[in-house]
Amino acid sequence: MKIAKLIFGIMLSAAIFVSCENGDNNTLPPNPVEGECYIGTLTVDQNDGTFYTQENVEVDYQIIDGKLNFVMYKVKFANGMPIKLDMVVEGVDCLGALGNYTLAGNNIIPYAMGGPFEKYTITELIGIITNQTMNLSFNCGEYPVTYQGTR
Amino acid sequence: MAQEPTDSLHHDIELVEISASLKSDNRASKPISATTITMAQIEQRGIGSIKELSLIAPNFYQPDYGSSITSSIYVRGFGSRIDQPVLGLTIDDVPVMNKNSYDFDLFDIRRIELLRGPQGTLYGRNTSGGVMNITSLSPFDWQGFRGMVELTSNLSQRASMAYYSKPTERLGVSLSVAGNNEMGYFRNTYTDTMCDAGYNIGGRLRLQWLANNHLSLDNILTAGYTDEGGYAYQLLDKESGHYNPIAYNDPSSYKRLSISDGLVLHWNSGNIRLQSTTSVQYLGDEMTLDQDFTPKSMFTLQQQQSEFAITEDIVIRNADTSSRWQWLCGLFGFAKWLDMSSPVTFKHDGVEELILSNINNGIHNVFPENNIKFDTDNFVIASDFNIPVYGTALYHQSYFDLGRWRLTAGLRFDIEQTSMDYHSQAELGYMFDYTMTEFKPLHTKFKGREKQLFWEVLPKFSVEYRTSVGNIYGTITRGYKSGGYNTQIFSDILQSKMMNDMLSDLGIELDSSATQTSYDSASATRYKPETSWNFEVGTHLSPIARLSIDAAAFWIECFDQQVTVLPKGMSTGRMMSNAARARSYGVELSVDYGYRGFNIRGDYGYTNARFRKYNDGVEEYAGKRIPYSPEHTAALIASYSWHIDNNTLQNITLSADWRGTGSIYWNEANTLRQPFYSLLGAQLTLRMKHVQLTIWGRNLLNSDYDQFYFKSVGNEFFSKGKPLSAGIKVNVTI
Repeated sequence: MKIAKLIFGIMLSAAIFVSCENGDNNTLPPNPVEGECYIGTLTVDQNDGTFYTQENVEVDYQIIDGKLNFVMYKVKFANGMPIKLDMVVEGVDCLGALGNYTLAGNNIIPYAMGGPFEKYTITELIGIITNQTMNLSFNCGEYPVTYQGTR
Repeated sequence: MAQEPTDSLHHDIELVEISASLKSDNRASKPISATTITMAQIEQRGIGSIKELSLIAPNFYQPDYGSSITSSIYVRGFGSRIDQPVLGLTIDDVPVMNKNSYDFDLFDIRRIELLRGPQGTLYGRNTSGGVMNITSLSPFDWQGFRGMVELTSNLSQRASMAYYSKPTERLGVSLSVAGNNEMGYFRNTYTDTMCDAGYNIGGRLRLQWLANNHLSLDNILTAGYTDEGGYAYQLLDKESGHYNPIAYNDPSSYKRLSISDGLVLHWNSGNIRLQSTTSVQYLGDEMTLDQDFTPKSMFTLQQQQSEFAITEDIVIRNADTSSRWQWLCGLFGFAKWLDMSSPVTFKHDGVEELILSNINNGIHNVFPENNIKFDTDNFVIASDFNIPVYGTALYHQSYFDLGRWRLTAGLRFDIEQTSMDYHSQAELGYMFDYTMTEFKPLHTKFKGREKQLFWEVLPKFSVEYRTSVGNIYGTITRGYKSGGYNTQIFSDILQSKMMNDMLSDLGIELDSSATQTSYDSASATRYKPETSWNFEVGTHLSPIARLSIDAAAFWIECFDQQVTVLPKGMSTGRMMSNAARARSYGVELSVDYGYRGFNIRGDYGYTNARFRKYNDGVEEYAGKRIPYSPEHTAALIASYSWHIDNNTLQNITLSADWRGTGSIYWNEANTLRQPFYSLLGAQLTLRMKHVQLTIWGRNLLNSDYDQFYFKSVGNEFFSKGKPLSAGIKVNVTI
């Protein structure tokens, strides 16, 4: 798993590098059509050598003023967590050209259950969004999280 | 000039034509299992309400619990606690359209006839268990003044007075009023008041006019008002198995105003007889309930209903009763409009235990220090309903006399349309104190319309063989109970919807099923008709003078049985569901014998009613006995009258009665039951020329028995039967 994460991280870094090279020619991805969410797998490192995996997680995004906001619907971060919640992450840097966008963010306080969740502040967020795929990696509080979805 | 009182009154009345109803078969021996109680028997046995007929008629059981709105009637194993009854009720041929009006004071009743088994062909909907026809005293039967006062051992008082007059040979007028001030038998230890105290008053104005030899009119206006308590429910202590004293904190009462006017027209052309029965009926009632029946402030209900109904029944029948082929045809129509408001108020403990605890139990697993909170500890789930029902029916019954044989065949086509407009809503503010600093308004509503159309074909076949001492018969009939709507589940639905709306607004989905319901849409609140086939054989015999023997055996197959279902968990509602298929078989036996002043009558009913299939989603109950309906009903009444030729005292009658019933199972799993129990009563009557003095006692052994069991928000409750009571009654007849 660590090797997979390392490879994923390298890919993301390369993509960000390519994105940055495009400079002022950035083209923001269009907001998705309603109902066309990415559906994929959420993996949470439990920091005890185990991983919690949730399939069929829907993720939706919206771009406002050049910043990307995304919502992960009905997610759990541990097997024993008795509730699923919608987590909103706002103000993610978004760069790239059509069909190949990169995300980056740090110290973003997510919203869930009606308000901010400082305890689960998002750090080291990197990601790629294409028309078909969404790949994300970030720390949610102290828990490393990855998401790989398609539509 | 007034007639001879009391005994003469009863004697004269028995001689008068028993019923003018064209639907009635007035023969003593008819192809049906029936119990007939005359005016003399009603007064001799002190029958003051339909509930007091319970057990006297075989396989007829109406437990006495709750309040007057509670008319749970069971016949031959089937019955219902809410909504559609199994027994139809007519008073002077006018069908009573709402079960909430079934429990009323009987005064000046000439005759009660209970026909067991489906009577759908002639009487239509909600007669799958039978029909009770009550006939009041007519000014053409008797003229004079009647009055009664009664005092019981708990200091309750009852009184009635009536005047019957025939100003001309063709005009009869009567006016009767009756009232009851009930002091109650059961104390609510929380409020230290009698919870079943109350009063009622009622009256009847009857005008009868024989216009000519062909036409007669009979108008009966009745009105009644009751304001009473009730609901003597005791919480079961599950650890000790004992019942806690009655103790609940919120008021519980029932108020009812009922007004009915029936116009019965008879026309006889010589070849054809016609009867038209038209009625308008109003029922306005209000039921206030502490729904948790505990000292906690959990939730209350204040249900107000206003129902207006009109009915029309036209029957024509051939007039020649000696004809081999006799027939009747009928056209029935009714419409009723019900407006109902049933707000449920959730109070402090209810909000905490029924709603917030469900939500926060899940939340606490992740946020042990944080809660979802409401901005109030008292809020209302308002539910308003508008339910019109329209129905019509066409029916026919033919009788063929072939010597000693009589064949009867009947058919009814019944169609009914009903709809329900519902609007249920609640409003409050909430917050999750980990993420939110202010309350956020939450307005949940559930509004819409449901519609249903039912039609039924109700045939009847019977074969009767008549002998010089009686008859034997076999009958096949089909009956049905109408469908309807579960208005009592809407607070539960909205409560569930509120939680779901709030969790959705918070972006949360709980793994727990605590907030998930299986009736999330109004379509789940509909239930459809229950139908049954009844197969019966029986006999009515009178082998010697003053001995009559009635016996019947029956088998009933019931389809789409309407079962009262309590939703799982800490739910607050109840609903009817067509969840079961059932069968019932049994026997009925009545023997009446008199010799000089001595009379003895015994009635016995046995019922074996079981589910053929019923699965409530958790457990399969196939083979289990149907709850609430007794396996045995029995009554034995013996009396002896001494006739005394004395100017002052004319007659002394001493009677004793024994009634018993059981076992009654309280739940579908048959793990709880009331074993067979006995009630002993006695009565002494001193009859003078114009005055009759009666001293009576009921439940003389002070038997301890349960009348009712139910579950509410996880608690179990029982309602006990009335204890030993006695009374003294004076009747005056002039």
